[in-house]
Amino acid sequence: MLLNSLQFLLLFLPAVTVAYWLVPRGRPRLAFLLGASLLFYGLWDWRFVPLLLGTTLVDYGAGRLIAASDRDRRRSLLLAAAVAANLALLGYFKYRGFFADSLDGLLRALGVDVSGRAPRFVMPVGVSFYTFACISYVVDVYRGMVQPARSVLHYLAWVTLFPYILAGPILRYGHVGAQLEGEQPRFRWSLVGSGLFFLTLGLAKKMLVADQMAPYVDRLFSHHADLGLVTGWAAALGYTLQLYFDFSGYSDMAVGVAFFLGLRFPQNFDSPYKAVNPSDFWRRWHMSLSQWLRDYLFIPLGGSWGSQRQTVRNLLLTFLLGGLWHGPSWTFVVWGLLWGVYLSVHSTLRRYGLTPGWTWLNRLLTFVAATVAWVFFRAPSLPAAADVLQAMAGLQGGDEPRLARTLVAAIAFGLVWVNAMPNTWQLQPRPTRRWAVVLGLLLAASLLALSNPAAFLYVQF
Amino acid sequence: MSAARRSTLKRRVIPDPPEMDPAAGDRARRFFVLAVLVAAACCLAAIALNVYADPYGAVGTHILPTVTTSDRTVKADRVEQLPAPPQLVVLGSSRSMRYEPAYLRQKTGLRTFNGGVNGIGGTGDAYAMARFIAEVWPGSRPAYLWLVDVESFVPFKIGNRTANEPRLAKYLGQATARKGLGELLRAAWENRDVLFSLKTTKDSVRLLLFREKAKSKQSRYRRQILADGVLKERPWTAKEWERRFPNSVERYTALYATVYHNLDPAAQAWFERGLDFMNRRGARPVVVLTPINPKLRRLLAPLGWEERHRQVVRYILGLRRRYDFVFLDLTDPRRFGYDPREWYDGVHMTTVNTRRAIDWILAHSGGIPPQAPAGRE
Repeated sequence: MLLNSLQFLLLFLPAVTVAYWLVPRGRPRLAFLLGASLLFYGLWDWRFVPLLLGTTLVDYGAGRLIAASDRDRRRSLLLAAAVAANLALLGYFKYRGFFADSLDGLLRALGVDVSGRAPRFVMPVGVSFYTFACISYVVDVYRGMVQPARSVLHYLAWVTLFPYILAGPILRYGHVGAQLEGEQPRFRWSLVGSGLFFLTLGLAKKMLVADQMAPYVDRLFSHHADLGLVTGWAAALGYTLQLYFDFSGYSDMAVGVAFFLGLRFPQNFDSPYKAVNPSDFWRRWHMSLSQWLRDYLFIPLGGSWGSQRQTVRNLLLTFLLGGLWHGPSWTFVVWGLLWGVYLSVHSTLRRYGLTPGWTWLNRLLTFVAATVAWVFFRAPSLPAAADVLQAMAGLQGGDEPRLARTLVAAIAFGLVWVNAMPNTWQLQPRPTRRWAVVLGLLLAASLLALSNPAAFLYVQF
Repeated sequence: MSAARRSTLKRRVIPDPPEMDPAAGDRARRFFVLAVLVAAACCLAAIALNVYADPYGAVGTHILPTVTTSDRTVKADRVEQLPAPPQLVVLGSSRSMRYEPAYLRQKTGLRTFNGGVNGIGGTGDAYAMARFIAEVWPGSRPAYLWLVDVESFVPFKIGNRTANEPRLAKYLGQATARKGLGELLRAAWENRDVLFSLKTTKDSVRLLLFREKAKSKQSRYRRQILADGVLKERPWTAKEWERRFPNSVERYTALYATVYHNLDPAAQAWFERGLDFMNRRGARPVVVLTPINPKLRRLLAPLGWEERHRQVVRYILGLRRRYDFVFLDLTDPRRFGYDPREWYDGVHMTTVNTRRAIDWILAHSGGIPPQAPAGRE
């Protein structure tokens, strides 16, 4: 079940919300929440429910053992074992195909017949998100930054929370888990009002902007070899905006759904295209992932405390792994490395005071850099990405653009939006009649657009 | 980890999202209820508008012209306007619409009518057209040239365009042929996916605002279909090929990748009903699998085209035990010595190629109507 489906919005969410507030507070409500989350996850593919439960229980057990032990060596071993188990799960389901393909390619190059090799595994949906959430839990317990979960019920209710399980944001136990452990709130209309506010704005971003652009962007990328200067830029800018509205739309919806349950989710986007440098961009884009990478990878590697060379190494390694986190593809590897290079260059220039002084120029450079990077993120292959970039550079000549007016209008509108408008978190939901009418209209238009829903782009990760 | 780094991690506080004033209480409730009511009212208004305007003819209100050109209506008119009953009827999808009756008459001596209509799938459309011609010309006993595509058995619903033409819809049990309120409501319910749609709403609004334009579009289309049912001749241009071939690649790639994994039992049932009807009227139809551009075929092969092709051939051959017909597989255009240039796109040929195809069909079917025992090339 998708968050942007009529079944979810008109049946599952209202039913779960009503029942959730009717169930007595405390453990019964947590048990209900866990059941609803497992039902939601199982509707995607029930076969992966035992996997989800089994792997998260390993982390729960590891967390308790780590907290109970006062021997550093034992704690370190437990931590290493738990992290290794999570990474093995991720690697097995997510990257097996990638390495098998790469091996196949190598063997073929060597003239070895590789026909009849084992088929691909189906990837459990949301595995990247809940694995990272689990890793953050055991590491935080190890660091003493959070207490271990009060009970297995609290832990499972946190890991399986249905608003985030498909596409994030990556939750921390210290934030959302603590809300589940704390005193559960009583029902307030302001909670569902705030939930409707975020849910509607997120749904509108997805259905009325991102999905309206998607067919045109898909068509341009599928004809990557035929793109010219204008169509190349249209493809890149179109995807840059489509991805933002799609993913930030999902994140807003997740915040809205969490509000319906009396929970507060973390911010995942903060007007990323207003960023003035690559580092600023990653403080604003997919914030839960970039914070995760910072706290559990970049800083343990040494962060930026060492020499410039070490900082560059840490940045490249962090973003290489960040790219790989998105999926088993060379395009993601290059995308991650490219961001590593951007950040390294910026870090080096900043160290020597060579960054441009004009904010508008910094914003423009950062936006163009992000747009170029998204080409690798979206393209089906590296040669396809090269085609698009050549087109953008004018190396494939000008073209006779037959761009759909919808795409041109959406790009223009999107550019104005991301550069000049406040983001959802900068709006204060107010219970006024005007806001209610605006939200009602947006909700109706979004629901009508659901007749042909497409999955959120980040669900594939 | 150093104490400095640990404290860096600890200092970070995750901010909560902005929230309505918890003290808003009753105002928040009114806000929520009003927003939901506005949304519900807008959705209901959109549905009502879509039923009224019925831009695709899905419901059958027939108050406004549809935005989809209805070649069914034009063809049904042409059948009724024929000066004499047809002796040969061409049936099929848009790929069949350029098989010229005049050329077929020249070769067979039979008065020919082209009853092909647009749309993937469409075995039901062909059955309805055959029935309709028989009803308009009850004494006629025409021969049939049924041009079937590999994609004729795609699992699709019967096209709304046929459902919107009552003269044809009645043979397919389509609710829209009936016009009572109950039937309209039932048709609306059956087409709720179409009616609860932003795209349909946009088309309805467009239809209301530009009603005359929609009408003139229909009349333009009416002029394109000639008295014998064939599409007006249009010369091949490189520009059109460059524009349309990628579209057909995209369309058929999506079809094979997402939808067409097996033959649709409903499409098979309509096909068999069509054969049965023709046999009962004493006709021995010539069933031909239509050509596909080799370039497109190569692209679709890895997506399952070859397997679907084999499946369709096996299926049709299996029907020879129950029905009397001649079957020719002309999917490979090299068989009739095609001109590689004379394609509008991946599946539609110009008359240069359709004439060659007709020559080949006549030579290998034993003529039309077929004289030789049924066989398969």
